[in-house]
Amino acid sequence: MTPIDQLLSEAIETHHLQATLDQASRKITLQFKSGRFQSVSYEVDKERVRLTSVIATASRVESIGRDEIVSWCWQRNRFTDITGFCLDRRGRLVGQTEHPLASLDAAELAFYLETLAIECDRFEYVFSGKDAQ
Amino acid sequence: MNPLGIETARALLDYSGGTSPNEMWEKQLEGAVALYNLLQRQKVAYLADEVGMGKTYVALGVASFFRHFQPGWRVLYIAPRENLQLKWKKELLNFTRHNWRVVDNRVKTFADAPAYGVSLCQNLLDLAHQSALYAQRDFIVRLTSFSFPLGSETRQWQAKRDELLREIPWLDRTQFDLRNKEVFKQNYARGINAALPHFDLLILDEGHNLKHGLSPHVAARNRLLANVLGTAPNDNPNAFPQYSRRFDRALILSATPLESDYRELWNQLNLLGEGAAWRALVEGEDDSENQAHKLETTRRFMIRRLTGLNINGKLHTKNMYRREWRQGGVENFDDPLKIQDDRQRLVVALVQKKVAEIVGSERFSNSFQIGMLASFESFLETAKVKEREAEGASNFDDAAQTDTEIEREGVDRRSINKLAHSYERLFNNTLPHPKMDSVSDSLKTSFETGEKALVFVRRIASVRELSEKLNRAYDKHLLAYLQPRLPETSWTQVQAAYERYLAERLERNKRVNAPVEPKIPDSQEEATIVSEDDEGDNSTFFAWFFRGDRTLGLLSGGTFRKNRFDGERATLSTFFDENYITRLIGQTVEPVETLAQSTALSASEFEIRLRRDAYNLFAGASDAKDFARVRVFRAYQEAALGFLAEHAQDDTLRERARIMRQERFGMHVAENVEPPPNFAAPQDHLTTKTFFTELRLCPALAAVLLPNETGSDFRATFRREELRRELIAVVARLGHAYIDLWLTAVAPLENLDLGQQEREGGERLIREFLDLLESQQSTPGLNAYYELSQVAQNFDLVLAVNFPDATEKPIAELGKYFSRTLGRQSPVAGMTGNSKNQRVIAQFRMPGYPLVLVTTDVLQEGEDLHTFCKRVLHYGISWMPSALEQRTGRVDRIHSLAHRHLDQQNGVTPDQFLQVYFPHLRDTVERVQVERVYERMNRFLRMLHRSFGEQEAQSSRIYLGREFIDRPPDVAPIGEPLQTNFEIEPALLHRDLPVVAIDLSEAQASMDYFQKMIQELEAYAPIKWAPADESWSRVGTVWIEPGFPVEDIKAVSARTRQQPFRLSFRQAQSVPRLLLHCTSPLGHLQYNEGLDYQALNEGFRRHGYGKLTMVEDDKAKTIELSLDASILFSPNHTQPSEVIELLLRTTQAADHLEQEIFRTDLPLENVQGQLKGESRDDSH
Repeated sequence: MTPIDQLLSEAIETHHLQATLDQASRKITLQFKSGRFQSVSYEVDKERVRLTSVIATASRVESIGRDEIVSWCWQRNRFTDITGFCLDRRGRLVGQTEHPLASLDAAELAFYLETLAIECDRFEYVFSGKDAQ
Repeated sequence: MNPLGIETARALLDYSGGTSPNEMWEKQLEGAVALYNLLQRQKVAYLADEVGMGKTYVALGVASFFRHFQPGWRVLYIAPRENLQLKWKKELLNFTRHNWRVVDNRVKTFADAPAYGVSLCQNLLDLAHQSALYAQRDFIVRLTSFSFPLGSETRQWQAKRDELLREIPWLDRTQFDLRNKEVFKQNYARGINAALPHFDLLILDEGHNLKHGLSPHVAARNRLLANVLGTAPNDNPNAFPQYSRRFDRALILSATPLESDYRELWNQLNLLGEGAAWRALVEGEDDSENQAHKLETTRRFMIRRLTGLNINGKLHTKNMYRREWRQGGVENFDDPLKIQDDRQRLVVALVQKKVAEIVGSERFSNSFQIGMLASFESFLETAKVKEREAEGASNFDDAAQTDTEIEREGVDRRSINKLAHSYERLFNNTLPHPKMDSVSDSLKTSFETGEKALVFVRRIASVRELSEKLNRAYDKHLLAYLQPRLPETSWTQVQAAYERYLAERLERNKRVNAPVEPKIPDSQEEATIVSEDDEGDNSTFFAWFFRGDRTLGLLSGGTFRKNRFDGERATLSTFFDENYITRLIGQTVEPVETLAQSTALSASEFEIRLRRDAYNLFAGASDAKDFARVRVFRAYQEAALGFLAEHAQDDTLRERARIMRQERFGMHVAENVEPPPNFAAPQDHLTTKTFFTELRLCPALAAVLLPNETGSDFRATFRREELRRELIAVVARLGHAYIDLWLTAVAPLENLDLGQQEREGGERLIREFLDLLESQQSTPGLNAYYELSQVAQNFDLVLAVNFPDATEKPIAELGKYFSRTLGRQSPVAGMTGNSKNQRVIAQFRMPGYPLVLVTTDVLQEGEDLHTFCKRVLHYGISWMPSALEQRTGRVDRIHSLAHRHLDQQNGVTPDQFLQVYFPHLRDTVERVQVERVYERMNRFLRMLHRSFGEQEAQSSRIYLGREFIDRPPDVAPIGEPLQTNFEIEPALLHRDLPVVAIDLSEAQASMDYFQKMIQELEAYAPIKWAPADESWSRVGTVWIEPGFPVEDIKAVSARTRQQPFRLSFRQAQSVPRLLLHCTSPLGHLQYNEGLDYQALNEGFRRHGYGKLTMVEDDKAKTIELSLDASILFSPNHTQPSEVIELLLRTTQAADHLEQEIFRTDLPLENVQGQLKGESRDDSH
């Protein structure tokens, strides 16, 4: 188990998140009281952990218009706590947050993870009216 | 959640806002605690305190308790109208700043601001948009947004549908077909519902507006509201699968929760989805046993407290200290309205005959809607309502009273129009209207006495008609005032100007058949931030002659103000300034010597240095080549204060000078350039006499207008003195007092030609104006002294109601700040839904103009108009007692004129009570209408305060035949003291619970650690900090070499770039945790400059960190972009390395993007505004 996997396990366990960790695909799926789900993937790069959650596929983004979506993301970003919305390399609408691993503890990671998932879930709902991710 | 004890609540919340505790504040606290506890055990609670007891603040207290204990709580506020929406927002900010005691970062931040976002929504679509943009906020919407006017043209529906689908693209388009208006509206509302987040608490203000609930034939607004909130049954779940109830609990507010039947109460609960739980309110017969059961049921969710005044040693409840003129007259109490002459009598008879014929026709079955006969208000022509082309439009306010188009027009409109037209043709005059004429005559007394009057009308057209009559009366009054006070030549010139004014009015009235008053913007911001240039208008001779700077070729009031007072070079430009040196050292003929002595310098050396300092301050503040008098005066004042602040031997003098300079002028750093020879010497500018220096020499006058401030904190007392001085100065320049000032100025002149100069400059005017004010001290009635003294004596009240943020404004900005509200005054003001004007409302809360405010129901709810008015005229009567109570309630509130004059007083006579008029003609159909309303008013009082009377069918319709035969007997006012039926259940206050400790150590530790961290950061990178003006945020600049931050200031080179930033606290929105937030601006651009969104997104993806944020300013048509990032912040865990990483990565990424996309390198000075405005709130 890598350090980030361990930290994630601890974050989920000690902070009672309704979440399952899939180490193989580096993905955590959180379930909310409303019954909705949100998946968050994680990667470690240069001693930082980046959490990413996909909100809409590239084709869905294209169908609405990339300019409109990024403008929407940036306006929304003004209000969010720690989540930044943008279009990723593949043109998908994602929410992200990134933090140095060295100073991160389980409580902080649990907060970042849950906040990201909640904000992305709400954005997904606003965006599609559905719970696809 | 645990119950809240009142002592814990007291530790969190202080309704006194720091003033001495009193019974009212305690009642508010008890209300908030009881409602909080009530809402924990059930889904709904009702606060029905009497008008003016601060229900808004109680509700804000309830919401804040919930949020303190559950930080993620969201609240949806529904206010009746736009002005009240703005008021809620204002009160929410005031409450947070002044009443919530603790910086808990749940309710209140370190900045004394709400710890959560608040969005004020303009309409339903905006609510959907703002919810979609970010839902974790509070939203304030208005009930009028749920009135959804749709014309008959389907193109309009189509546009509505397309707007909605643009906002919520995943809604099923097929649900918005354009065949059935009602279905379209319902589905539109359900579409909005789908976009809404879930709210924990709904606060519904003035809940009585929903008393008709979802019954058939009531306004579609209520059904729309229920569909938006998700409380209406979902009969089509497949079409709107997301449709659901969007709130948990509801707190309803209204001083008039029901009128005559528990069903009205149940209707409100039912609309909010709580009908089933409270069905007992509408079940069973109306026998006394059942009524008692309904009362008990109501007590389980309703709280109502009453106020009273102690008058002549006896408790007077509202009904006792209000004197109701129920016989219809307006001159002598209990006299009916008089018909002046036979012609009027004949006209009344003729109109009665016409009205009787109309309502007696088959079409109207001898009946009419109360308050909706046009002839009761005036006989002037009214346009057909259909011409307004809006669904639901009416010639009357409260159009929801009837669905029938002809009744909304006024059933007698056409006949009365014909009659009026015929009369005018025959007699070459307008048809006399005894009621309007008598009322307008009685209101003229306001011009003499200064006593304000608030007049409510039903017909929208009556606002203009009554205002117009009063304006003409005012013109006559003004001319009569001017004539004896002016020399004959000047009077002749004024008369000529008056003729010109009349001609302009006539021309304008011919050109446009529209109100003479200029169109006033319908928004708080536009209304309060008006141009300083007032062109005047031709509503009255005052507005025409004394306000605008018209090119009349003579010294009119407006021209005199502009030429002699306002200009920098004007001879009277220092008239209302303060001479701070005189203030500090007293009046002296040799100020240079006196000041030199106090600084231990020689007089000559002092003068040289002072002159140099003054010149440099002057040059630093102005590029002007000539030396405008007022600027030089102020430069000398600032320089002398600066000199004393630095060199005075006496500690107190030095400290006071320092404070005065800092507060009045700021801290300017001047160059050190030798002044040119033509720069004035100090003597004149240090001894300049102003109105205020001389006022202090008139002890009796000064004691009233400029009383000495007491207090040990010199800064605080100085600021208060300056606030008072600036306010008095603005009132004297812009209000009624200006007439006397102008007269004093021009009376000695030979004539009003433009070239005429004052003898002895301003000193003569100061002296004579003060003499006049002194003489007016013993002259009752409206004059300059009255207006200025009323402002001065009620200074704190005026500030609280009109200028709550004045205490935080820089002194130098106060003049403009007050002028924005007090500019453009008119002796009489009119207000309808189309011309709401916050500035006029604020002016009505001051002494002076407007003396009479004529309004429709647009000011019926929420607006405080009580501070200087205790006279209400229900010229157009509403059929709902609740509406009448709300209207009278505008002037019957805590700290109202009536309360101030009556409470704790002895020897009070009924003439001094709050006067409430119901003008009507006794021997007409109108009396029938009024009696019905009186009866309903009495029933309303009995319902809420004593045992309930028997049930009677209630209708807004009058059946003439029946009423004439069987007149309602219960029309005399109720005179006994009232007692509430809905006291707080004592157990709800949990007085026995111990105070729960509120741990604020984390907040303080965070603040301390933040300050420490700021200092430590400099060890990691050179940072240039801007001066700190807030302890919870810091602004600064870092330097960046291409690709990396500069670690040593010595390494800064020509290619080094700068990147401003701001570090501040934010509170996490879902949990009680603090975030340290870093924002670094990329820049701002105009809409039309174009932005390559994809290039910026791509740049962010490559270099980015945190998040890109964008703020669109629709008014300025600009976009602001920045890069933001946050980390959790804790004094126990956060390391400096984390903060420096946050700071450097944010600024570095921002700088990359700024360089790549905008190709600029903006310094801090260019983005300071952007950094200061950085907020999650939508209102900055």
